[in-house]
Amino acid sequence: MDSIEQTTPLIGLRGRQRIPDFSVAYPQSIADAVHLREEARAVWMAGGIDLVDDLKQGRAVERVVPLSRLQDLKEIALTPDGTLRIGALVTYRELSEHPLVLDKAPDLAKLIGAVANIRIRSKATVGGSIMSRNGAYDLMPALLALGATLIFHGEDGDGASTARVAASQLTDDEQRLLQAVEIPASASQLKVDRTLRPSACAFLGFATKGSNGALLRLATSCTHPRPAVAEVTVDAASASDLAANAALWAEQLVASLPMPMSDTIASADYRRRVLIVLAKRLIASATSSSIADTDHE
Amino acid sequence: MNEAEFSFTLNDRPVTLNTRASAMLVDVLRNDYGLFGCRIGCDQAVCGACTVLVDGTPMAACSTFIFEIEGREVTTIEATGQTPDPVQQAFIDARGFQCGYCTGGMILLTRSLLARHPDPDDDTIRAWLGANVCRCTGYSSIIDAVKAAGRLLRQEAVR
Repeated sequence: MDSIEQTTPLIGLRGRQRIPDFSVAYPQSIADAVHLREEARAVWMAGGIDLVDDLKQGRAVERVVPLSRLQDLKEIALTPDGTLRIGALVTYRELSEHPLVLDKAPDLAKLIGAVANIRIRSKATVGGSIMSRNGAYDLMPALLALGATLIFHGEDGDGASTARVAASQLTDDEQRLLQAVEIPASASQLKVDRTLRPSACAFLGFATKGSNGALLRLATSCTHPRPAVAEVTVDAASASDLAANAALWAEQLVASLPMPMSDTIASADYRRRVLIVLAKRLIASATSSSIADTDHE
Repeated sequence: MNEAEFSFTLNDRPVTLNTRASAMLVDVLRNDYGLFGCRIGCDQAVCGACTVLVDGTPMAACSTFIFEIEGREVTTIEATGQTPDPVQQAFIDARGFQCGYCTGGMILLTRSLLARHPDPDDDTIRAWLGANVCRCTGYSSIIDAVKAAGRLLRQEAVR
């Protein structure tokens, strides 16, 4: 009997009653936010969607540092070179309704405008969603497909310096404060498809590069513990016939991804096969709409 | 205990209380102010039974800390008093509820919807109502209630 592993009781694992007593410290600046989090068991709070969930599951926290009063993190703007810069504290709702996002990244605005419900979208933030590293959320794979860059607070702590990290290079060890996300001016089309049960979601970024062909990025959610991405450059000759060879490009992209996970929802093999199907559809759809756009122009 | 003083506007009345910073709004409303129309359902910000309006925006009181509403305006289903407002009247007329457990949240969500979309189409109504779960009546009568509420409010605005 000693060999039987003790399991955690199923009742009472999650609830408001499990939230520990904590103090709240509002930072006056980004540098102050970094400083306040240096205490043991201190956490930043953006919208709080994931943090509240963690606390209800018993996460031990002694200090909460709400970032909500840091106006610098709430801006949506175009940089001089046309890059769309989105502050880390921008909510899903603001993201989906802002004129600049509707103009420069309409596919992203539409996608995020349909996430969850109005209560969640009013509270969930861009930064909170990214840094949750949740493998089932929509925002991060969409940003991966669009070739986004993450802007972190620099390590020197003076509030001025920043560090740029490609969204595809975000690691689980990243501890710096995320300040903003940048979507390049040459933004891709974003196409999304998913299985009815959330066993696989595919996000395709498709950008034509004029006479240099096209760039395809395939990002996924619900397939790996963290969002995954693969990209392939298509030369000009092949780009003209992309839709006809959509299956081949889809297989190549999915082969470049890590092996999907197996769980009670689906096996790794099933997920990989489904991803190929979804990617093929998206490539065909993106290239046909791109041709239609060209015709329209 | 990390207690602090929090001030906000509750149903058009300024209030201040001392409580733990980690207190959830739903517990403050029910235990400190006796506003039991804010229901506890899933405790996961999913079912919508605990919906309140914060500065006019629907929020889940079960997942909102008291410190988050400092200086803001909170509206609960008790705000209209004893006389039904047009949205409540529309829910009564359209029989948009049965047990009533979810109805407070539904009505507050509807108010917020109609403030932004005075004459919403079916898709908009369904998208918004996706935030609230009703296990009793089926949704067609609730959608009818939202449409009726929109009509009543538009008629009021014309007068």
